[in-house]
Order: sequence, then C-alpha cells, then structure tokens
Amino acid sequence: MTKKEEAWIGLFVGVPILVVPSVVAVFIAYDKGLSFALLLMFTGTVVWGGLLWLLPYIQRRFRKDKKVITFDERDQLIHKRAVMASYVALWLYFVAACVITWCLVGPNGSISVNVMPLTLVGGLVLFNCVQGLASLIQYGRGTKNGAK
Amino acid sequence: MSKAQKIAWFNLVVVLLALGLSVVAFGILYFVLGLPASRAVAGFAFIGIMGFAGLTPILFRKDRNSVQCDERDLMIHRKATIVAYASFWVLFVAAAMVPWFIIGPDGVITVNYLPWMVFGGMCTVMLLQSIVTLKEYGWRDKGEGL
Repeated sequence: MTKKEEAWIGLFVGVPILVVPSVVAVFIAYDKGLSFALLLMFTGTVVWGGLLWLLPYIQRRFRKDKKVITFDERDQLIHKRAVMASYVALWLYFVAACVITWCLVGPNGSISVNVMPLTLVGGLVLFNCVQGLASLIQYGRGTKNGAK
Repeated sequence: MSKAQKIAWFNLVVVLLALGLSVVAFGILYFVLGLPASRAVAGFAFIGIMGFAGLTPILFRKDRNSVQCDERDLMIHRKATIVAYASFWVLFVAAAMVPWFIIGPDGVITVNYLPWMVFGGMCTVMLLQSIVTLKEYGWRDKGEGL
C-alpha cells in the first residue's frame, strides 16, 4: 500500500473510526448518565486520535521485517509537514472556538459543559482531515508518489 | 549562540516572567489586600507580557545576505513544534474533559474558562517549544554561532 493510499484511507475510514465512538460516548452519557467507562472510552479515543500520527513511527519500531523499507526520509518529511499543518489548523480552531464562544455569550455568561467534548471532537475531525489532505497534496494527486 | 537558541531563551524568559509576575500579583491581591478571587484574577493581566514574544522576528533579525537557517535548524524547529503541540493536545483533552467529569453532563461552566484555556495552551506551547529547542541545541553557547 502506498503512502497516498494510506492517506486516502486515513481520510475516509480513520476519521469515522475515531468520531463514531466519541459521539456515541457523548450521546450515551447524555441519555443514560455519566459513567467512568464512558468517560475513559471517550478520553482515550480522543487522545489517541490526536496522536495517531505517531503510528508510522511505532509501526516501524515493532515491525519484524525491517529489510523492506516502507517509510523513507521523504515520507517522514511529508508526514512531519502534514502533522505540523494539522497542528497549526488545530491551534487556530481552538483559539477561534474559545474566543468566538466567549464573544457570543459574553463575559458573565455560562455554557453547557457538553460543549467541551463536542469541541474536542470537532478538533479531532479537523486534525485528521487536514493531515490527510496535506499528505495527499504533498504526494501529488496523480501517480507521482513513486511505486512501492 | 545561534538565532534559534537566542529566540528560545527570550521566549522562555518572557513566558516565565509573565507567569511568575501573574502568580505574584494574584497572591498579593488575594492574600495581602484581601480582594475576592474574582477580582484578584486581574493580577493575571501580566500574562500580556507574553506579547513581547511576537517581537522576536524584529529583535533577532539577521542580515539578508547571511544564511538564515540550515537543515539542522529546520529539523530542530520542527521537532520542538511537534513536541509542543502534541503535549498541548493532551492538555486540551484534559482541560475539556475534567470539568465534564467533575460537574457532570447536565452542568454549566462559566464562559471565562475558555480564554483561560487559550492562555494555558499558549503558555504550554511556548514553554515546551523553547525547552525542546534549548535541549536540542544545548543550553549554552557551543561556539557554533551563525
């Protein structure tokens, strides 16, 4: 599987895999009340989702067949750039979400605590989408990615 | 000392100064002057000192003809940024989930919690980025100055 195909899979499969358990956990908690297991499920999914970019490094470390190169310096550079782009987008989203909410509600207002996990899910979706798109843009839309 | 090292030191001092002065001011207003906590948080106005970090491109500007940065500098910068933002993500999740866990799904929180999150995130990112940069280059001048 080429890096480009991985990026497409990450974009169309990875995002729902992360988002579905998070949203399910929020709705179950809203409907049936909060439990530690639900909280752990949601927090774990969200933390892992935001650090999913570490996967190629972990995979490379634990892979048995180290003679076959699947992640070279170019891939690493593209991956790092994509992660940085995602973090920049995440940071802008985070600041915008906090400041816009504060401006809309006013300094004396209050918000439902459920806004916080939903903000996280939004950040997670954005992060993974930007990472997938940045990888695809850098590898090129055609077949310039080099056959592996 | 390289340009990146100087910037990292400058940012580190600015962030620590801003945080230190804010905590001291809050302590004086709350414990010495006896103001309520809602008014004593005005001491955190010293966080504004962090704005000086935005002056680094001007303060540490280099001659246009000289080399601005090499591959090693870029690699260190990238590594420091990724470490800082990865840590920020974990803190962001914690900051969002802890109130939900403590208050419960039917609760409400003051909207002022959100700008605090932004300031906390900014401090964390700047602090970690500076520390990782200095750790990678070394904390002192090693005679490689550009």
